[in-house]
Amino acid sequence: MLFTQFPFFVLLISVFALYYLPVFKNHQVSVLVLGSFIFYAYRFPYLLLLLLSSISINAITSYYIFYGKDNFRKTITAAGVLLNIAILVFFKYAHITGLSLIHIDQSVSLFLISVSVPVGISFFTFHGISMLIDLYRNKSFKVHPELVIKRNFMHHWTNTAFYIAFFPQMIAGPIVKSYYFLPQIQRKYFKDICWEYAVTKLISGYFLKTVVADNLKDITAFISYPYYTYFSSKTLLILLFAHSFQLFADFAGYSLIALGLASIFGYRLIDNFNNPFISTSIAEFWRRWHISLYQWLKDYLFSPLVISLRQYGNMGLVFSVLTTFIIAGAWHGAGWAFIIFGLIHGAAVIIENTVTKHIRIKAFPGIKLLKIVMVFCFVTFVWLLFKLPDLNSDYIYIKRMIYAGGNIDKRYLFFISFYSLPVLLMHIIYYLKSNGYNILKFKYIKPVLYAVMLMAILSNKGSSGNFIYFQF
Amino acid sequence: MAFFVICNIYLILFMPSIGSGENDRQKNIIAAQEYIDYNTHRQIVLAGSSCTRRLDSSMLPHYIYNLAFGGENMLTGLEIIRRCPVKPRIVLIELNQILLDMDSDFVASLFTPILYKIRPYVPSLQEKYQFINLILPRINKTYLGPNYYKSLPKEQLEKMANDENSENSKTLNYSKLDNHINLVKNYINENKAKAIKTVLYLLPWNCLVNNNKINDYLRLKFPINEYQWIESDSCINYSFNDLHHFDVQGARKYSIYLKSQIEKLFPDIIINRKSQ
Repeated sequence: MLFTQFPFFVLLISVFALYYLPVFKNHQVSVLVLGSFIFYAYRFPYLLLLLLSSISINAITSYYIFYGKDNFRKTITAAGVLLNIAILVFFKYAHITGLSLIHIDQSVSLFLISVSVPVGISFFTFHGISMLIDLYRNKSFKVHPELVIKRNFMHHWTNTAFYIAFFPQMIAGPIVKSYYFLPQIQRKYFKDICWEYAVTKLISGYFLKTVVADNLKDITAFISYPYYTYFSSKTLLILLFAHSFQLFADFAGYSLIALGLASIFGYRLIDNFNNPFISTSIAEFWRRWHISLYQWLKDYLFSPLVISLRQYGNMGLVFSVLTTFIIAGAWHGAGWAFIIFGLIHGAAVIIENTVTKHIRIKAFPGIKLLKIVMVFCFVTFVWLLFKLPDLNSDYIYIKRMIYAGGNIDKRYLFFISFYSLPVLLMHIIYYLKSNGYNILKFKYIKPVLYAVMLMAILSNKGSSGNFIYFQF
Repeated sequence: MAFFVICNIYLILFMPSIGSGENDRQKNIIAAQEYIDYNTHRQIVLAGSSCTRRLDSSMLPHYIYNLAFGGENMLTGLEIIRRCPVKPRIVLIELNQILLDMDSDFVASLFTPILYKIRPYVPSLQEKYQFINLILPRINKTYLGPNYYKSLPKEQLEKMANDENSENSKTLNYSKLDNHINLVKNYINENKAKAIKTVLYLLPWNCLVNNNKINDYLRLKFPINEYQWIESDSCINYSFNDLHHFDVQGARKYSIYLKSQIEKLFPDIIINRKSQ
C-alpha cells in the first residue's frame, strides 16, 4: 500500500477515527498495530507471516534480555541479533545466491531465485536489532534507563509489534531507536495533536514525493539501457543531476510524510534529512542524508568497532570506517554495485579526513560554494551505481557521458530545471537562514508557500509510483 | 483553497491552449482521462501498446480513438473500455506486446472513487491542465526544439536485434502467454455480448527482429475463421526508430494503411460519416 493511494486514505481515516474513540482509549496501541498489519499485508498477505515472525523473535529475545538471568543476557542478545541479520541476509541475498548456484543444484537455485525481497525488511530488522542492543546496554551498563519493558509478555509483544510495525516508519524509516520511541508509548489525546506540525510535514512530504520526485521519475527513466544511448554527453550529465534530486525528493518526501502521520497519532519520529546538498564534505553529507541510518550504524557498528580496534590506531579507524560503509552499501542491495558504492564513500571519507588534517587550503571567496558543488557532483556520480546496478551499464554510461559529445537537449534541461527548482530553493532558503538571512520570517510567505505546494499536489502531481527506498 | 478556485475559474473561462503531454506517461494519462471523462459513444477504439500509441493521429479519421498506451499493452485499454459505461462500436486490439502485464495501478488511479466523478468538472484535476502543459505552448518552440522520438544508430540496432532474436528463439513462456490470450478472449466475449465488434491486428516491427514464433502462436490461438483480423503488412514498407516503433514517416504510412483496412472491413462507417 502506498501513501499516495486511495485505499491508504481510507485506512488512515478509519484508524484515526477508532484511535481517538473513547471506547478504544485503553487499546490505542492495538488499533495502530492492527492498522499497520493491514497496511503491510494489503498487497501481499503472506508477508504478514514474516513480519509476525520478526516481531515474535524480537519480543521473546528482548523479554529474556530484560527479565532473564544475567549470565545468559549476552548470549541471548547475540542470538537475537544474529537471527535478525540471518533473516535480512537470506531475503536480500537469496536471489543472487540462487543465480550463482544454477549450475550446481538447480532445484535449490530455482527456489532461491524465486525468493523476492519483502518490502521494508531492511528497516524493520534494524528496528529489532536496535531494540535488543539498547535493552542489553540498559541492563548491563545502565545506558538508557528510561527504556523499560512490560512485565506482562502479551503487553510487551504488542508494544514490540507497535515499535517494529508502526506503519509510517515500517517500510522506509526513519529508523527510530527503541530508547527514543518506546518511552513515548502512553495514552494519546486528540487535543494534544500539533496540527501545524502535522499539516506542514504532510504537505511538504507529499509535495516532494508526488510533484517533484514522481515527475522527475519520468525523465530519469531514460537512465536505462538502451535509452541512454540516444543522448548527448551534456544531456546524460543533467539526467544524473535529475536523478539526485529525484532520490532526495522521493526519500525526504517519504520521511516527512512519516513524521506527519506519526504526529497525528501523538508520536514523534526523528528527522531523516537536513538539506544534504549544502554539505561541504562527504562526512557532513552523511550527517545530513538518511540521518537515522547514519546514527544507527554509528551507534551499533562504527563506535563498537572503533573501541574494540583502538589498539591498532589509525589502521583500526580506517578498517572501522570502510567496514561501516561497505555494510551500509550492502544494506541497500545485493550486488557488487552496492558494495562498491559503500567502498567509494568510505574511501572518500578517509581521504578527505587525511587531506584536511595534513594540507591547509587557504580560504578564498567562494570556497564554500566550490566545496558544496564538489560534494554534490561526487554523490551524484556515485549514485549512478544505484540507478544502474549492472557495472557494465555504468561503464557504458560514463563512457558516453565523456565521449558522446553533442548538444544538450533543451527540452530535458527545461523539465529537469523546472522540477528540481523546489529542491534547490529549499536548500538555498536553509543556507541563507543558517547565514542569518531568514526570508521565511515575513508574515505571509510561509502560508503562501504551503498553499502553492498544496495546489501543486492537487493539480501537478506525477504518476503514483513506489517510493525508491521500498526496494531496500 | 483560493488558489485552487481561481485556477479552475481561469481554466473554465479561458480554456487555454495546452501541450499534448511531454512524455509517455503524461500522454497515456491524457488519452485515458479524455476517454473516461468525456465518455461519449465512439465508433472505433484502438487498444494496444506504444507501437499503436505512436500512430499519426492526423492521418487517422476522427471516428477512431487511440486508447493505446506507451509502456502498456492492450489489456490496459480493454479494462478501461470495460469500466466505462458507454461502449464503442468497434474495438481494434493490437496483440504485439501481449506478454506485458496489465498496469492495474494505472487503471486504479484513473478510477479513484469520487475523484474520477468530479474530474470532468474540475479542470485543474485533469492531467492536460497541469501547469507545465499550460506554460509549454507559450515557450518558443525554437528554443526548446521539437518533441520527437530519436532513432538508434544502426550498429546499436543490430546488436539489440541479435539479443532479442536470441531470446525469441528460446521456448516461449506459454503459461503466461496462454493466460493473457484467455484474458483477451474474455474481453472479446464480453464485448460480443454487448454487440461490440472486435478486430485483431499485429503491427509490423523492424525487419531485423524475428518474432514469427509468437506471432504464429497468436494466429493459431485466434484463428481467422473465429476472429476478425486486419491484414498484416510487411515490415519492408516502413521505417523505424528502433526495433519496435515506427519513426514519423513509418507511423504516418501505417496510419493511412490502417485507415484503409478499417474502411475495407467496415464500409458502412464511411457511409455513416458522410451522411452525418
